[in-house]
Amino acid sequence: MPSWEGSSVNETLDFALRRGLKLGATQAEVFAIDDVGTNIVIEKKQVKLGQVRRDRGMGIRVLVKKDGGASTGFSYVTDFSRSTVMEAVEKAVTTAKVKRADKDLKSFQEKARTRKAANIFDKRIPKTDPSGLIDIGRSMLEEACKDSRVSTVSGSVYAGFGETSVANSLGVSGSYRSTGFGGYMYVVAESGGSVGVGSEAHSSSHYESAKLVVAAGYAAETAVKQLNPKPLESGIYDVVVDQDGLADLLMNTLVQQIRADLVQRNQSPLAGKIGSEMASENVTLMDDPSVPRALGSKPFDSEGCPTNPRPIVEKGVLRTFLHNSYTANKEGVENTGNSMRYIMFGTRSGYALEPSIGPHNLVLKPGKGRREDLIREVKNGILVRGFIGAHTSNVQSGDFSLALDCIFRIENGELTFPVKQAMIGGNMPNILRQIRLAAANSKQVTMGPGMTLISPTILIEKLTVAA
Amino acid sequence: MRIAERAVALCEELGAGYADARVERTYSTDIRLMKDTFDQVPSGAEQGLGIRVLYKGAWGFGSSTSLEPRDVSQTIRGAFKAAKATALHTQVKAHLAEVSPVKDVVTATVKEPMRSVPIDRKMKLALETSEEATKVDKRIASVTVTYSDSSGEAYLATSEGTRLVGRPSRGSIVIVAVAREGAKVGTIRERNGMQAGFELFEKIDPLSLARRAAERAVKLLEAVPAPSGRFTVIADQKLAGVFAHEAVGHASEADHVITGESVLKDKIGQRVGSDLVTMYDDSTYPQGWGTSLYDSEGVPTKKRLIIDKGFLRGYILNRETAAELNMAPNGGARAQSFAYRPVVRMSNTYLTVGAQSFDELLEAVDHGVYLKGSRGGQVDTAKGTFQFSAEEGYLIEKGQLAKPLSDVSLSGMTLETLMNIDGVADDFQMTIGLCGKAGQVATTGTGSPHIRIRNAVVGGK
Repeated sequence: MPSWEGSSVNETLDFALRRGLKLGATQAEVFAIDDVGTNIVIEKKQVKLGQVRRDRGMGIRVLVKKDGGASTGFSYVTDFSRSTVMEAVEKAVTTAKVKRADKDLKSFQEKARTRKAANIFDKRIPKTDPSGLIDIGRSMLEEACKDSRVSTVSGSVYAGFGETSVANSLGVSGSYRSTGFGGYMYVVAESGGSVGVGSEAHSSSHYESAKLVVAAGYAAETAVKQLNPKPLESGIYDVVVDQDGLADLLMNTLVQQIRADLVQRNQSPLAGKIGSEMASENVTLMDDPSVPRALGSKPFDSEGCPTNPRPIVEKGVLRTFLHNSYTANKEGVENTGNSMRYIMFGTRSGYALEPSIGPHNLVLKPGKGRREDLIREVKNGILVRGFIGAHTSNVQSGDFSLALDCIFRIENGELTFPVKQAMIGGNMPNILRQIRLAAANSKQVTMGPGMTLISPTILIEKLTVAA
Repeated sequence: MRIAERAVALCEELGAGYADARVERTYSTDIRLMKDTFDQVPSGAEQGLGIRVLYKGAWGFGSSTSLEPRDVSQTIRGAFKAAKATALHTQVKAHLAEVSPVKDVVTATVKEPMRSVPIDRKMKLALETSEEATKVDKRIASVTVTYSDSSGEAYLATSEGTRLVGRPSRGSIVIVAVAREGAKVGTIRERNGMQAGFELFEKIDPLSLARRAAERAVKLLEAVPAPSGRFTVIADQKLAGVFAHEAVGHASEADHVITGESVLKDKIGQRVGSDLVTMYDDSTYPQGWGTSLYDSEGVPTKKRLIIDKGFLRGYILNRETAAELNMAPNGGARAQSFAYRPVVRMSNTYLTVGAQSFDELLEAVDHGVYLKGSRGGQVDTAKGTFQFSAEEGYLIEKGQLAKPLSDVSLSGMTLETLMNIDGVADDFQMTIGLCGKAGQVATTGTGSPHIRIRNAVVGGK
């Protein structure tokens, strides 16, 4: 078990804070993560490798007030020995002293009451060992290989648990435990020279092994259904989009556009649009850090600000941007508690990063009926499961041009055939005005580290599709 | 080393057929400067253990950033359990090619240790570099400078008796200059780095890199849209180096060859390029960005001949792929850090120097395109296709460089392109890069002289 069994994290945290203040910092903050993860890797229809990973580290930030404002400095350590922590704090303080004063930098997060955390800890997960995951992986493989046309299967299964702690010299001090569980399956089917690909992932804070097996079967079913695709004629189609595609698209467009840091730097087309209508009235989008079993749920953000559910878009009207302590202080508004430590590309442990801004669980309000009912509404359209190249979207203008992945033709409410290749172009947020319907099939998909989208399948009307 | 040795001993006690342990401690400084404002300046002190266990042909891997004895023991036991559980179900067993155990200490040539240089001096260097680029021209709209250094200690112990101590040190600087005039925008990136102490920044001269980035960015403002079609192309050292790395180098990685994701599969001894093409993946290149005397499995590295005067001569191999292909291992396994498994990777990949001058290459081109630098692109190593966007282009008219071109790309079939190389210049240059594979990043060098390619596909906007 990680730190909470009385190991050195809390003491180290305390030591770093005191040391920072002693060296001349006005304020000091530490953010610590202690994670244990186990995963298995499936390649070529067999379990290839088991891995365990213990990742413990601490990011130390200091704030130095000076003429004309203040500056911050940052260091991180995975070695908690006194000498290493001392050197790290010194470097952070020196950096803060050398940097030019930022007049908008006021303070780290003030102490505030946090609510009780949602249920995001499953006590079965710390007891899970590699052989348990292998059993799940084998059930997934069995499910995925039922059809003789399935030629290649790869995937993984993951279980992890950990503790996140934040403390600062203004009295913020807290920690919470969480667990994570999930996996994916990638299936290739071959028949008569044609190749079909399907993939499906499932993730939750809780041990949901049966859902992983269902996901594996769904990936295989999709791969087989993608065999023998036909070309599509260019034209205007109604487009039904599944959750994975929507998450990828939103993460690379809207999520960045509602970040207050980018809004303040005038890098978002939504700047100045609070209170105005920006989507169809069917769109209500919440950021909800209190959803049980969701991987983005947390009682406070990475600076220790309490998190709360809040509407981002309400019946089409933009309600708020996402703030951390810096952007909220700069504008003199309430901190929304959206400080997150992540980078868009690459993997880096959160403790090695300074705070950025992101959503916890973006929840798109579901509509009525099943996914099939939504498809039945469509006379002339396509079903799309994913997008390729969403990261190339231009955040500042919102323009995107994307290749579609895993496409099916919809004619008179029926899925008729798989489609070869197609592209769409569009603009976010403008495309949100064309959302007409949502089904009731809400599903959680991972959008980034500690961020999810909980959304139904949606129907976007009249998109220009190029074949 | 004691932790690594104890880890390996514990694995053997548990019944492992083979085990290796890497223990590392790394100090790093990153400084990101946007024009005259420091954006992010993280300093890091990271340590950790990576343990790899082979049990009855199945792998288990574990890593831990905590080196406390209880955590280390738990990680090792976890990795062993993972291997043991996997062994029950895997049909394809991993074998390792035989190597002789080695004992050595490898220390980077360092005059001024990175850790002895105060952070404010490093910040000053970044600031001066940025100022140098900014003052080149009024039209320089933004400059981003990224300074990075890292140094530390690395220990490797294997159950076969290999004991290696490394004291690496490296540093680099990246400058991105953006020029703007009306709606026209020109972006250029210059970078360089070395494995050495802080003194390396005198050798790589960040100020002249900064000037060059800014001057090239301003020059781009004059660029006109590029033509599309087949042309004779001259690629500069950077673009040709990226081609060698991305299109040819990845296809020569033995894991890709084995899974069938390589256009070079089953082609050893066959002609894959023109007589003028000789390519190495060279882990021994002096102070190179991808240089190491031993790889992450403790195997002595080599200057690997991949293509000799047009004929394919070898692949990049780790111990497992060497055994599978029945070839001699050549030290091609690299891991980003202790937290990652070693995988087959390139080191410094380059096309060798030719006999002609750049002007001689140019003179023979009546109508063509000169492409410089790379903004990245896409490669399919299985199909053997590539597409790279160049940073700059120029039309070539009657053996002379003519007007500059914007948004120009080079694409084609890897093997066809290698066959169409009909000129190689004498102006070899190495640059540094980062290569992503299997979720890991590796520091790689790429190099080439100017090369001329007949009948290449150039794309405009």
